[in-house]
Amino acid sequence: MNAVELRDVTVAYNGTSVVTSVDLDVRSGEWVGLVGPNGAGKSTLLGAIAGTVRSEGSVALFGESHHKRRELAKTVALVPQHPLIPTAMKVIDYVLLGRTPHIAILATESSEDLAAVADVLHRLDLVDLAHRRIDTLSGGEAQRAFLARALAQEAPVLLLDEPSAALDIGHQQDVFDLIDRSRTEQSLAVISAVHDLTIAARFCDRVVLMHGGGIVADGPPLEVITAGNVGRFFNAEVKIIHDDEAGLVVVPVQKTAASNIRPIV
Amino acid sequence: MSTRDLRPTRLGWGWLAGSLAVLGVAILAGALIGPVGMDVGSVLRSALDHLPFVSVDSGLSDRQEVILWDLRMPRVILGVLVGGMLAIAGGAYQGTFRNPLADPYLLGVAAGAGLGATLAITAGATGEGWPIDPLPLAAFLGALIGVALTYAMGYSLRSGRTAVTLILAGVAVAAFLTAVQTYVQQRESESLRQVYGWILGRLSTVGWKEVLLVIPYVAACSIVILLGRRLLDVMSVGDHEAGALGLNPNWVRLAIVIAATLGTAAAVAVSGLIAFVGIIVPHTVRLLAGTSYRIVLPLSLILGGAFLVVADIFARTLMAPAELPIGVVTAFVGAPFFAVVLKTNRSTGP
Amino acid sequence: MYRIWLFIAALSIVFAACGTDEGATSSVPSTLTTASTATADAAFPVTITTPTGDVTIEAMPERIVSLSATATESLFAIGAGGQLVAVDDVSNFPEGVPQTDLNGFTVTAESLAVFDPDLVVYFFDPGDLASGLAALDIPAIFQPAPVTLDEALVQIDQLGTASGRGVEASTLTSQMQKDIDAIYEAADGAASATYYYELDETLFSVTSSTFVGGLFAPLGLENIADPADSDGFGYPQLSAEFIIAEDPGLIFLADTRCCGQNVETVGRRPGWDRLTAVRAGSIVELDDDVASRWGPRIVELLQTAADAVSRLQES
Repeated sequence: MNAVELRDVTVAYNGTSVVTSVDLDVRSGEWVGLVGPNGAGKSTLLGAIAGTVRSEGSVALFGESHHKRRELAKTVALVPQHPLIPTAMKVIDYVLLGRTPHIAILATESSEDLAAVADVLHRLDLVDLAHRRIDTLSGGEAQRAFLARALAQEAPVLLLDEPSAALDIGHQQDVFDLIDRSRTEQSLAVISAVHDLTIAARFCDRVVLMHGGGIVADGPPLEVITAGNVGRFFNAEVKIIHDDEAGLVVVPVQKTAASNIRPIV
Repeated sequence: MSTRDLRPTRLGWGWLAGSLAVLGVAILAGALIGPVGMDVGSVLRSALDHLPFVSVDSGLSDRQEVILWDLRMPRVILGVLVGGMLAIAGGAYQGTFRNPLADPYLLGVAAGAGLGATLAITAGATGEGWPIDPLPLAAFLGALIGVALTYAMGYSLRSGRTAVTLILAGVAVAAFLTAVQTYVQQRESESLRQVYGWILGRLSTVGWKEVLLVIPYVAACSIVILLGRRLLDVMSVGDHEAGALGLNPNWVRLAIVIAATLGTAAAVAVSGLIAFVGIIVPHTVRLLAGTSYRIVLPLSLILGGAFLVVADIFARTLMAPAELPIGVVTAFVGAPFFAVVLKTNRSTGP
Repeated sequence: MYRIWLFIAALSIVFAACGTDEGATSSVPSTLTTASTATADAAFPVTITTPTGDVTIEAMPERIVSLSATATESLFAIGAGGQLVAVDDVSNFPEGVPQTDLNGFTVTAESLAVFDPDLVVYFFDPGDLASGLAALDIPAIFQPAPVTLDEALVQIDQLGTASGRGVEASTLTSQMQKDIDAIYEAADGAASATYYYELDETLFSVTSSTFVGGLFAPLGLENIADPADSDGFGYPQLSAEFIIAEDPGLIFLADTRCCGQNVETVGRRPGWDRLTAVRAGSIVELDDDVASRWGPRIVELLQTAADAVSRLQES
């Protein structure tokens, strides 16, 4: 059974279609990178899968397409692109929010919940920051906190919307390594919208290229991230380099008609 | 760090005990302070005497006993109940609307109650010949109608049931109801004094009737709000994310609003419109003890009561033998308090 | 009519001199005091019917607290001044009343308890005053502003009964009635005049359905504010335009003390110099205190008005 199965999913705002007739299958343990130019519909598609955006068509998680809210929250966790940072909340309390679907409405957290939180804090190296206010953290630290909350939900499907958008190269690497580790350890199905094609190629088993609300390519990175596709759908000129160590590297190239094509190193 | 240190924020015993102590001192001060002097010992002995199965000679005269137990103590206890309710309702509203300046008055409770009270007063409903005193009832119904109108208006807008929409609807409804009330007041300016007296708030009371009237509402509504304290912490990440975490934010909001509004309407019905308590107390608690609603709600309930008792002491002593309307005292503290809130809002938030 | 003033003045001086000590011996001829005290004591306990119900007073009160300036005046006028221990901050007549900071609009039962009163007279209940005094077993008489002259006289009689000065009270009220009847008789037959009665400088006025209006009507005075009061609640706010259009024959200023209005200030109001009354100087400056109370000095108020009318007739 697929962890995530989308059939003919469409999302329309005010008559304009933002996501059009999308079919997608994702298995547990798979990491699907969602790439595409701005406005392609990546965030919206993630919202449709998470249930925060209303859609037509069928979104089935482990074969089930109608979930009550709590069930849904236990099945899919979403880290939005710009999570709302409550002022003055401690990191540990923020991560504890991830346990909300596991705690009865009027009850407070149990020892299992606390253990789950502690576990996540350890895994993401947030223990020293546990009692710091989340709004005082640096970008990289905050990103780890957002991820920690999502992981605390213990949902088998993890959706990430541009998880490294505001991070420097070092922190980018950290976050993606973390996601990779969690994915392997818990056999999560991960779908992340990524803007950096090189990163997508490095970490994702599969890359899904979106354009204008639809999926135009779906396959292993080597097949999808080609100079042709990038040129056509991103309107950018790139050179694809295959490096033994770094893997597939996407490098922007000067847009000139002349023959001097110099890669920007 | 061991797992034992990884505890989420909880209300510390120290804060709880300290707040209860403050409340106790406030109640004692309220019982002792007044134009007719009584000493601490006699008052405490009299209190003991009132316990079942205990008989102690307090040394107070009959008249002093009447003053203490029929005039002062009901007033003090009313202050505890009303102050606590307004404070916890304010904190709850701030949490559910994620707005530091939210309190039940925001959604039309004040305007509705004010209109109800004005109509009752100008209609000459003095309570003579009525089975129950019509003034609190009119205020209560007015408050509920005000909030209902706000919800109706908010829900009818295309932008839907967001927090911001409700707040805007509340502002509109409040403005409208206040305009109607002012019109009625102008036409019947004989009763102006009475209306203003009610609007500015008063805790003066004789006997325990009003206390008994208000207790069930305050108790029930406070309990509901306290039960929802964890949920309010979840609501602080916004409706969207709270929904993704498994809550239905609209239902949580509705439940909290109902409980907070009902309790506030009852408080307003007996004591008039005492403003700012729902803003001052929760924010002070946030500044001192922490912003989690597990801390803010219980402490607001306790310290709100203490605050209003102390404010009432000032109201009846600052210009003795005249009494300042208690709403004036809270406004004096509250108006500059807004500046404090705005300045520190970046560091504490709703 | 001035005899009444002699009577009041004599009493005021006497009682002012006595002060307000509880059970003070007065220097009023003892025969008068003893006689009235003897009759007074025999009259108790008494029951008085007030708008809030029956009030029973067990014995002659010696510690009366008055929260009504009118009641204070009346009590002094009937010789009960020595029984007063405290009056509110507005009670300022006659001289030497035991004024306190008590305010009739904001007083509480507890603050009254300090004075250990055995009778309280009030005209406004800020809320819980009546029930508070009842809880403290302090008899309280509610005497709100009356609408008719008869109501005002009844209040004086009530105070007389309550304070053990029933005889003096009925003497006073019958004298007042006689004097008022005399004033009306003298004015009878005179041509009618219109008048504007000003309560404050924002042009709030009274109609003839109010106490003052009703008092003035038999003088042949027509109130210009009557048609302006469609709701009939008695205190309409007029506009300068309206007043100028109506051009009343007489202007009464009841805001000389509170709001500093007088003949000059009225003359200076833009457009008002067109008024007949302003040109002819038919503006009567009333003492706010006399004009706003309904005690023994209403005779003085009425006389002032009657004098103004006759002056108008002569001119």
